Amino acid sequence: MPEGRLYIGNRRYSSWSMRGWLAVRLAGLDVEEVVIPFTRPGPTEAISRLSPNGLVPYLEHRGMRVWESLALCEYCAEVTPALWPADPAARAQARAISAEMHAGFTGLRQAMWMNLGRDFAGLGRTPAALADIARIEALWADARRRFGADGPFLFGAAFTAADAMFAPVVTRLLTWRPEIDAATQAYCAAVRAHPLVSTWYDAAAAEPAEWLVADYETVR
Amino acid sequence: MSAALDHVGIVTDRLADLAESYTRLGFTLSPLARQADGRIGNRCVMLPCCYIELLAVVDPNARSATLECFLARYAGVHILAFRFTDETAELARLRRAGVEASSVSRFERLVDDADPDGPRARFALIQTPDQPEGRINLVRHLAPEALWQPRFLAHANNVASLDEVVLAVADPADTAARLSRLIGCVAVPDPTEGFALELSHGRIRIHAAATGVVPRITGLTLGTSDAAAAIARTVVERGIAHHREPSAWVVEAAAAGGVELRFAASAAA
Repeated sequence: MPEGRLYIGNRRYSSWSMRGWLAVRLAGLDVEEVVIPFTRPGPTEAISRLSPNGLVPYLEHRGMRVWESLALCEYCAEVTPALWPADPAARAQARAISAEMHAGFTGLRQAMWMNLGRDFAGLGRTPAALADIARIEALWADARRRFGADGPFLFGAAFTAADAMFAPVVTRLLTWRPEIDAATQAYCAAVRAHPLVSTWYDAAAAEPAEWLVADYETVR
Repeated sequence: MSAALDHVGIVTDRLADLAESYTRLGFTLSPLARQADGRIGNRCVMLPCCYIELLAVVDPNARSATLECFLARYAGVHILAFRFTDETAELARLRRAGVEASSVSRFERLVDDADPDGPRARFALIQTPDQPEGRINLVRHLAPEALWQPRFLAHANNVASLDEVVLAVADPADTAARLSRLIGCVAVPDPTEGFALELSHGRIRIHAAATGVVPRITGLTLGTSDAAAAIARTVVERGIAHHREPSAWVVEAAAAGGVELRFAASAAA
């Protein structure tokens, strides 16, 4: 029997949901997924009523309640420690860049929102977004150079919580297609090919048309 | 009101193989039904009183931390579920017993994956803190007719009831006292050794472990309507590992997913 529920928003748009979902699936928690489609304008009332901070993802697991994606990653890592790299230096780096992702990159997030069903190539290139992308490329290159030699992900062969935290950024780069270097492209391809990411994309593509939100489907 | 056994869960990493083993033993199994968003599947031996659930991860791309944790100890019975009738009273009882239980949650699943429009099993569930002996759930069925379908209840081995669950532990007194509080039933000395928890139907027997992984749920006693005549023929004809006891035919744990199955005359009979 399921041990709880993971509440998420539209897979097509909800980047934070994607991070939480990836962590939960990587950890193997036996929870049901409940998708609460966004309503606009304003916050989605069903989510506001349910979640302690009014946002998704929100996890209920064996009587415990966890919200905020990074907290969710840490909770999942208590169940499955391999969510973070085993090497202390790599683990420290993974936590630091994940926290930076959780707290920042608003320029990118505002200009290039997550939409898994559109091609916005060439759009959204605000100075703030491009500056964020430059910083992200530097973070990824540094992690890959120092810790990722044995595989395609940030810290090597295993898809870690850090990759989960940055997976929605990968989707943004694939949707909006800013200029990125070859190493970044290779990392994006690896993340996109990960079975869990593919599962998320497939489920997003299967969402009903009624769940589309006009604000996220067009670029002004 | 005394507690009633609802089901036991046998965890495996190869559901098809375990289902085959139980089919060879003469059980009728319910169809494959998935839960946890398709990652975990089960097949069930439905008995009038309760059921035996065989379960495993069935999505090759998925994992279950809980089942992996169980299997790291051993393949076999890791889940005991007991039935309750009143959520409010049950949560109050648990609080009085000093048990930190989650609130009541509800969930549902298909009974047969091949029939997506078919009946859905619906449950109310109280999860309790994991015990060293395994997962103890408290369950109320909200659509029992979906699970207890007549087509699932007839078994070629004439098993009609699950009468006993046997636990092997390091300290039977401690385990009996703890599980007694958790389940809400009386612990009494077992006539043979250790202690027993008397349920409204059947009992949990708690014995001192002699060898092997401890604690462990080691055995199930199944009541048959024909004094084990059919299962006796089956295990002999099919070469299934077994031994005899004065009042039972016993299928070895290796042939039954990690739990010894004692086939005896039904306690009701």
